[in-house]
Amino acid sequence: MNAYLNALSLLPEEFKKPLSAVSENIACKIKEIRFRSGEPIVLYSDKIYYITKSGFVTSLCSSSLLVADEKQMYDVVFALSRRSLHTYQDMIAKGYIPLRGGCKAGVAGRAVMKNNVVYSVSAFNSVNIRVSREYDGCADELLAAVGDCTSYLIIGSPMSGKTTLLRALCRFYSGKSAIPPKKIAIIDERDEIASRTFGCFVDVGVHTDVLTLYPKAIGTEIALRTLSPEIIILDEIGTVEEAGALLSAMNSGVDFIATAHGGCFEEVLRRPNIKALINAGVFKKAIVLEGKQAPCRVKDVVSF
Amino acid sequence: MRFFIVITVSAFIIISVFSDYFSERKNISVLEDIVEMIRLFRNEISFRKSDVNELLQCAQKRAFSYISFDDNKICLCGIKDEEIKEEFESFVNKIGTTDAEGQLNICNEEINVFEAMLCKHKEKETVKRNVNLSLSLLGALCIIIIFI
Repeated sequence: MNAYLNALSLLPEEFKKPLSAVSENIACKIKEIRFRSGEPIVLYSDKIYYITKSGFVTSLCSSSLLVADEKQMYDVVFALSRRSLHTYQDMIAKGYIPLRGGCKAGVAGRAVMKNNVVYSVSAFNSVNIRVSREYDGCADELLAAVGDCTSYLIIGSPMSGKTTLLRALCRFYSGKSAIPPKKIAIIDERDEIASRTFGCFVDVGVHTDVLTLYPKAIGTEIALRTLSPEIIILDEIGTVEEAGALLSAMNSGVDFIATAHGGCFEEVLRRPNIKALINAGVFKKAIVLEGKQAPCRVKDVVSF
Repeated sequence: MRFFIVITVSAFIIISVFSDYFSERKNISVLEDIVEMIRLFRNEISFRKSDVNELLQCAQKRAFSYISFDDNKICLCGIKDEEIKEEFESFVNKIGTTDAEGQLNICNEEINVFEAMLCKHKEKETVKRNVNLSLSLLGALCIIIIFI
């Protein structure tokens, strides 16, 4: 329930109030809260729910549902960005706003281009609030699969639990009970793993340094030069710059644990940057996750 | 009787002119506070892209005499000048609504506007101070004449 309420905490009162009234047994399973301009607000868990104007939860799509219009969509984005679009402009341009407790809001609208890059977004038409949850022992299966290896790639489709696993791994390797603890550096480009930006800390271990909002390539270089980590953790790698940074940092006595989007190992191999990393031996294993039906569960382990 | 009337009228004129002068002094202090606060915001946005909460926290530490930050709202305290109030409110409503570049432009524009107001009020204050001085001398002269 706390994770769900965390995700709602920044919403304007007109939406926060009815969404907070959702019963605990439904709220604890909700994975996404969707706002689409002119469409009903949808709650996604294992089922699909809507909210009526009078604040009741229903699974029937009718005309009496709570809807966010274009102006309210702007209000939602403005509120989620803590009434500070200037602070979140870069993140909104990349399609997200970090929320409390590791939650994240995906944002879509009309792109404003400048020098061939998305400079900002206007006319917001879609907001997807993803509820982030911690599960005790969620990394046990993965840790059993990797054994002593601390250099591996976690592959999974969206919502397969990649980021949740990374947090659990940080706590395992560098938490209070880790023997001996390892020094970890997290390059948290989207502030999703450790959620350090807004004073709502997620526990990622005592011996963990967090580089918040650093681009992964730059963060990796800085961590290597200045923080003497034993493991560097990165979420959702894949660009040329990121691959280049990891390739130049390999053989420096530091292990890498990273995640990448993909349904299976073969799919990931079709991405040239990730293929280059695997071929170069940056990772010793690849762990393929089951998917959103069974978050954090291991489907396959590939050793190199 | 004549003595009391002259004293009362002189006191009334002097008090009203002085109160006007002090209200002008207050406007100047308020405007100086506002300009300093906007400069602070500009630096914070330019250097750290601070969000509204961070800006408020930062401004609260400065302890401005005429600006309060209760309930995360920026308000002017005890100011009667409508022009200053309206301009300030318009600035407050624009905070956070644009990109960083836009925010810096808004800060720069508002600094110019408030500095122009500050100049105008300083000029008024100088005029009023001179009037006060003349009136005080005149009042003192009248009292001396009455006593003679």
